[in-house]
Amino acid sequence: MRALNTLLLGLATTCALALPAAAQVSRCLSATPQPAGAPPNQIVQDFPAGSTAQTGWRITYGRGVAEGLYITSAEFRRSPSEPYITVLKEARLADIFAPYDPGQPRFFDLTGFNFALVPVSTVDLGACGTRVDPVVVKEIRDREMLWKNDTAGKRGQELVIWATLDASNYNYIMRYAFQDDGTITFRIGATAVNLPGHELVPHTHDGLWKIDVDLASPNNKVDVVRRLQSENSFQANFVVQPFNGGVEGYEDWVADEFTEVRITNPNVTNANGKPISYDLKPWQHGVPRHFEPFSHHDFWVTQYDPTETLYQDLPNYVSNRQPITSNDAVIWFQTSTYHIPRDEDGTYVSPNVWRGVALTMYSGFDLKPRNLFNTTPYYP
Amino acid sequence: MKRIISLPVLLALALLGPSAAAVAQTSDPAIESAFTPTAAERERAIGLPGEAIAQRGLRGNGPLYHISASLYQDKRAAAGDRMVLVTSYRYEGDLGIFSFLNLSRGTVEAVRAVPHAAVHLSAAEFELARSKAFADSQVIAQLGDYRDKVIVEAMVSHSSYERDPWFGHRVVRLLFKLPPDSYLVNPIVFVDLTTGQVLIDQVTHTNHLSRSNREITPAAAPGHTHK
Repeated sequence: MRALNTLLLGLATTCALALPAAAQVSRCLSATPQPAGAPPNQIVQDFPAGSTAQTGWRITYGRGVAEGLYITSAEFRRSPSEPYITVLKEARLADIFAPYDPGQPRFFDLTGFNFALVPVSTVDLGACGTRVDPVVVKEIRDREMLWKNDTAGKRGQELVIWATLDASNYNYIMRYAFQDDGTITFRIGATAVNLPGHELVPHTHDGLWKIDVDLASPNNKVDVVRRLQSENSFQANFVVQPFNGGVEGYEDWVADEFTEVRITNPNVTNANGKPISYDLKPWQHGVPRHFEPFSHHDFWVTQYDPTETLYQDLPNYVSNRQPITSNDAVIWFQTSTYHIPRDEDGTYVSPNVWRGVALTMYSGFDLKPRNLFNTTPYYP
Repeated sequence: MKRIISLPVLLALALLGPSAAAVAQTSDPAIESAFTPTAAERERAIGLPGEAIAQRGLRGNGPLYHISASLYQDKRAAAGDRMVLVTSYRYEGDLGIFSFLNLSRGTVEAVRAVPHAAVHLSAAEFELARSKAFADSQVIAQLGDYRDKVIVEAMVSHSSYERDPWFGHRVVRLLFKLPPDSYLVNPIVFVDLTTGQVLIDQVTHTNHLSRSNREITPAAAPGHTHK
């Protein structure tokens, strides 16, 4: 142990000496002043932060008991001279499923409870965060290298809003990041105290997402993209096919196919004449397959219906196979972390009392623009 | 659900009516109305679905709780219309009932009934579960000296498996929080609100090795002891 401590101390010292002074100083990026009279749930952010605007987001969010934090619209503009383009009309966790490996208990941590969001604390804000309301944090962050080309490069930036659901013993961090290149990242982080009495029982935390992309119009085309390669061939290719043949249904994420879902507006093109799209890129550790039918597939697409709110009911929603091509479609997607408890989660301080917390584990996905720009953004 | 159990709090919960979800997250009503129905809207909303539920033959017999009222998005609705979802739970048939209202027009836009949907507890159900547990001698015995020190929290445990004894039941797991940040490992208490039974899980879950290499049956009941 002493040798390990010495090694760690040495490494820390070496790293501190190796970093340039500027990298050791936290610099907060500037938030864009909000328009006068804007709704209380709207946030506008231009990039680069604190400089002449090139791109920008205008978002609105919602929050509620048993709902957590969610997005009620997201609009992006490629330049200050252009109008905003609608990207999202709604994006949220429709539910969070936490089934324990022995079969019980099985918790639906959003719809099964009236869990509220935790008030923002000083530790949530860190050095640069802002409390946009009592339970929601806003941060304008450096997100490391947007691109590199030898010694040239550009650091990226993002607007992040996040909140913490107080799920009794557990906490869920719900985080949405809107990046300078038009990308949106969605994350759910599970943390806090393991289930009392089941502290050492493995379980999953499944984020059950509902995403309504309305890319410049409600009527978009939804495709599934797969990379195909045989182990007997040097060649590979990719295919783009209508999701589930163009009707409501499901598709699975296949690791060796890099499965993605693409949402395209065929009627709006960039300057190169290419239709604008967004790719849903999974950020998977694994795929949960439980007893419940909704978990038997990873992606589902339904025709828009404002009364379809329950992830559990997806098999019913798709049963009449309504067309989704050139219709208003909604994507549902599950992401998951498998939590096998470890000593870092805590310990029994007495026979009947557990003390400690599980460190945060994230799952999620990204929505990344395709042919939204005419060329590389943020390139000289 | 998280409640510090004291008489004033219980009285406050009773006055709140059917929705424990009524707790506002900011003190500014003007801002809060962007996120949740106002108190007046909630009161109106809770009163609206009853007739629509009955007209659709969904009232059934036995208890029906209107659990919560929340804003929902309908992008086809007129700008500014207040769209409210009222969530109800009917014990008969373990039925979640979801009523979609346009409060600005006073109309019920749709009613969806979903058997075995996960629906959260009303404040009244939480209090019922808590009082049943605290009336149980085994629970009291296992709590021992902690009885007056704990905060009771409730979680609805869901069953999707038709052969599970709890399938179709409203089952609540109670947690006993020891302020500020610890929980009691035992007792592991479940209250079956459908049958009124208090159950204590006697199986130990506190050994890493006890679960390895074990054959797991889907949704098997974890060894509950019926009192």
